[in-house]
Amino acid sequence: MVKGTTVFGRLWKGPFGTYLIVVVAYAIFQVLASAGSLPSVIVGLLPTICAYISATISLNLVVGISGELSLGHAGFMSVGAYTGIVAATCYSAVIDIPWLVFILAMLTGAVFAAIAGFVVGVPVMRLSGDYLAIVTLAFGEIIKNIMNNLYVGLDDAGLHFSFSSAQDLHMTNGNIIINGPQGAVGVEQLSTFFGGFILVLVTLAVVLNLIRSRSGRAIMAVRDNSIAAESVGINTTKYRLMAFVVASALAGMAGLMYAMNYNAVVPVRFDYNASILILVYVVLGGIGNIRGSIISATVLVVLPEVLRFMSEYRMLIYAIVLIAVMVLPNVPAVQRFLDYIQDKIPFFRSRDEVPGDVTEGAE
Amino acid sequence: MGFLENLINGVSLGSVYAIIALGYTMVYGIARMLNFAHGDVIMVGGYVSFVIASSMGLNPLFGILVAVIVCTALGITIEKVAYKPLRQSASLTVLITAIGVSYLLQNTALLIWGANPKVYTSVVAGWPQLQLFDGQLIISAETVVTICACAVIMIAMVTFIHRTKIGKAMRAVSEDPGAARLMGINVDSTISITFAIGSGLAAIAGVLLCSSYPTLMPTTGAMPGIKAFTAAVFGGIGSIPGAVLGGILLGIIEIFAKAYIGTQFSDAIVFAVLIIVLLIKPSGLLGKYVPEKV
Amino acid sequence: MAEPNDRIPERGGANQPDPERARAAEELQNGLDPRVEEAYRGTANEDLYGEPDDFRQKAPVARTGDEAPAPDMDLPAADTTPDEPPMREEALELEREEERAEPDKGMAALLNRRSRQGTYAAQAAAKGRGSKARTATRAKATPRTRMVPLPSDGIVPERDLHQTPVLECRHLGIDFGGLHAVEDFNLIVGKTEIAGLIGPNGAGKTTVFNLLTKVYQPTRGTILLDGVDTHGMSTPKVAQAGIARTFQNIRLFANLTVEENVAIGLHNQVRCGMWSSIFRLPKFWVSEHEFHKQALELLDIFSMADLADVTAGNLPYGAQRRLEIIRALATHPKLLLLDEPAAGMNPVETEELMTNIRKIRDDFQIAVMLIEHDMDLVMNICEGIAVLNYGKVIAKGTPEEIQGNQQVIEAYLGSSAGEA
Repeated sequence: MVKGTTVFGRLWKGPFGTYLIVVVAYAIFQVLASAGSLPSVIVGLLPTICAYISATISLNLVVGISGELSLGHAGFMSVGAYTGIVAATCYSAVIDIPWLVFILAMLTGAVFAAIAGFVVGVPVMRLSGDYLAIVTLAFGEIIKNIMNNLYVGLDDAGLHFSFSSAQDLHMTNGNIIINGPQGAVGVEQLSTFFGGFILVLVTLAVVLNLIRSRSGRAIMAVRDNSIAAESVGINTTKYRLMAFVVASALAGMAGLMYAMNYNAVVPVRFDYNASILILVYVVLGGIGNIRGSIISATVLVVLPEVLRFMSEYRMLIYAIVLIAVMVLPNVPAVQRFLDYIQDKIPFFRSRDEVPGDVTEGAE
Repeated sequence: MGFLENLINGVSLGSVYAIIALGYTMVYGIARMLNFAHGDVIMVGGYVSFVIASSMGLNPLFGILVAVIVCTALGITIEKVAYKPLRQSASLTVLITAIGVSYLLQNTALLIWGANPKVYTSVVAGWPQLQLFDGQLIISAETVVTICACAVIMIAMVTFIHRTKIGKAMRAVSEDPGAARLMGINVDSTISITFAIGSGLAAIAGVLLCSSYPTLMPTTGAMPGIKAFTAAVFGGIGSIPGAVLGGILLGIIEIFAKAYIGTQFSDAIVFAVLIIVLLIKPSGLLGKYVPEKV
Repeated sequence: MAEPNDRIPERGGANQPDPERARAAEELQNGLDPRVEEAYRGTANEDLYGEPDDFRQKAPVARTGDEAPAPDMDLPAADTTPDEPPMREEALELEREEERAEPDKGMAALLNRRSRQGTYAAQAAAKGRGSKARTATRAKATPRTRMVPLPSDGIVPERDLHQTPVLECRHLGIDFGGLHAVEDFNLIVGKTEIAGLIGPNGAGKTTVFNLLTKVYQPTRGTILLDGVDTHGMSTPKVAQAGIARTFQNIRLFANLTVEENVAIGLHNQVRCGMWSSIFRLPKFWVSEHEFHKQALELLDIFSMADLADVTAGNLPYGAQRRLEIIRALATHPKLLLLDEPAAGMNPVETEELMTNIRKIRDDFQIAVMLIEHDMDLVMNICEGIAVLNYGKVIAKGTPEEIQGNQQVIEAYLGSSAGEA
């Protein structure tokens, strides 16, 4: 198929190819959806898929590019989702244009998620490896716990907050926006497939532009060899934090995109299992491989829906597929087979746009 | 009296965490992997003993025995099938596989036993309560048994690790698997034994947990699993006394947070304490810090 | 090299290694040892100044061997008045020494105890913070300072004589647990000198590099980079201040390309913020052009420009070592530290490396200090050589002097002289 020697081949291997895949995929799905050839479940799922793609790309920035294992990514999604929903309710009162409300809510959610990322990141970046993983997990659970007990309402007097109960908001007339364990209720479903498509493009642009810049190189330098990075004058904490905060902001937008596709979102949606799920997408797509993230997120969000006909067996199948995908490439017989295939068919040769896999440097 | 009661309840809950954390910490120390499926082995242990004792009506102690045997076999099987091929792989690959195994166990349990919670009959049901201070302080049999079991298990584990040949092999493998292999230690079987012990302990933890908190569901093991994992990290992952200390402290903090601050934020407080400890002592309470050599 | 004459007399008194600090350093070191503390307590009343004999033996002041430590050069009170500028300088530095010792609670307690007993009054006075309480103490006690001689055995190339040396280490030392991994390390490197640091395996050579680059924080002593004290700086700060290094076990950014590796070295030379990058502002394009241009120029030094797009981890061993040197040079250092640059290279490559190290020195006018086991290379290109054994400098001098030095030959079991 495409060789790296032609002009198009070069473009294909670079970020251009990734953007092209997204645009083409969007066009195909859009045409199928308007022609009515997609099942309605999938059509309703399209914004969710986009949200998961964005979340996966942003987590890949942390796990693949910055080389830190984060198990609390969904926490930042929930911060973005809930602040965004509250913001959207407030903005709707004064602005009549839904898409403008949505964009402003997105930005608000991103800012709050970034702040949460910074607050979490400053202490967390003192740790590394499995300890960092467990602390991000702990932060994710803390955020979930707080969201589970958060009550927010809006009336003529403005916003009301409480950590104990809805009655405690002391509102006479007005709406409860966030109702503790029931989460956000009465959410305006502003998420659309087009909006999701734009979000994916924005996420891609931010991540790819960041990677291919001075800051991105510094982030990858810290990942590859933090001691060497320090020896050339790079402030390792700053760049690890930068990747973490940018990823948190993007996760916040993804969280809002996800939340606004439903009319109610419970905080449990963003628990540790959700973080793990996104991590699974990242690993299956290839650590550090942005294009892989897009593909794996799409396939793995759709897969359980496609398997729905198997009803109770579907999650079992999902688990087995997951284990098989992880384990089989490491079984010697399968390895020989894969090598053979890669040898014969050039299409399967790996071509990461970003140097991936955090392997040890040459001796 | 309230304080003392909370303290005892905390130690009891902490003892369960400690027994689970022992499994986490041993597997981490020897195989350098976070076995996220460990929490679900607890759940399997709970169900197996439930089936023996409640459904078949056999002796609950026999139920414990069967649960331990089943979980040990399960642990060895999981290790052989899912983890062994990944010895040389990146730690993330192993982590995701462990998550896959966790999903598999939960969904298998869902298929067999359904989503509805089962009401677990305590293994020590009918045993006398302990009454102190003229009946002002009542300690349930479950609490006493749990705390005693934890103490016995910890002493047994420390003795096993330090006094037996297999224990020595385990310590050698955790120091340096390559060198251990050169010394003639069978690294693979040592790792298998570690998984077997960890899973057996998980079965006991499952029985004790369900006896004190008698709701059994396919997701029963998940949260105690995470808590025990944080307990292991809290105490310094890889260290056996650390796991016990971390588990008990975590249990006490959780019960106290529930009693004095409020049920709804107890989890947040537990995790916040963990974070603070790790920031002050990045390798946990009893862990060793090994800097990278330049 | 054990000549007593100080070869850099231009430098002011304030900059010279001073005796008070030496003693403080020495005391800090001994403060770690509970036996010494015991000794202090036991003898405080019978010997006002100071130290029981075994204490002095444990930590001789000058290790160069040519001068015995002057035992009790007690000076009158007037000489230590805190208003005198050089003494104030010393006092400040003494304080800094104490700050460094902060984690060592035992030492702090010891200092307190001694000043309470009045035996430490001299030091308390010399601190000269102007506090009234202290002035009172000074008036009561007899403030006398014990003076110790300077270890002034530094050598620099003649051409660098009139410039601040790029590196000056004074009494540098670090302990790992109870082990003195590096002890009393004194070295001066001239502005454009090619210096060699040699010694048997495990002598502490790489530890010295780690101290200079603050991978380890020194337990004792001072590092002056171009006359500036690097105390308290982190590794990145030291790199920005002008020390670049390579590593014994190569540490490249193995997943990135050769050009990216060099561009990362240029991190602090070309600026472009995160927002400019994300939004692809004009500043980004200008900076990227600059990165590319400078990276290729640097790669040209070792004729590696054609390898710019190769992944660094896939380079042959020798090329990886060269790339590491280029990456270090990209930080525009004043002092380049090379840790075994010729390891794993064949004779042709080594020959080329020697030419290139000289070329780097001439073109960039920087100093180079290298650790190397290849004695051909060391004796060929190094102008001054220091020999390290068991964490201590056992000899300093020109290649000829080192080759003829009996102690060095013994340390190497005669192999170094034989090879050279």
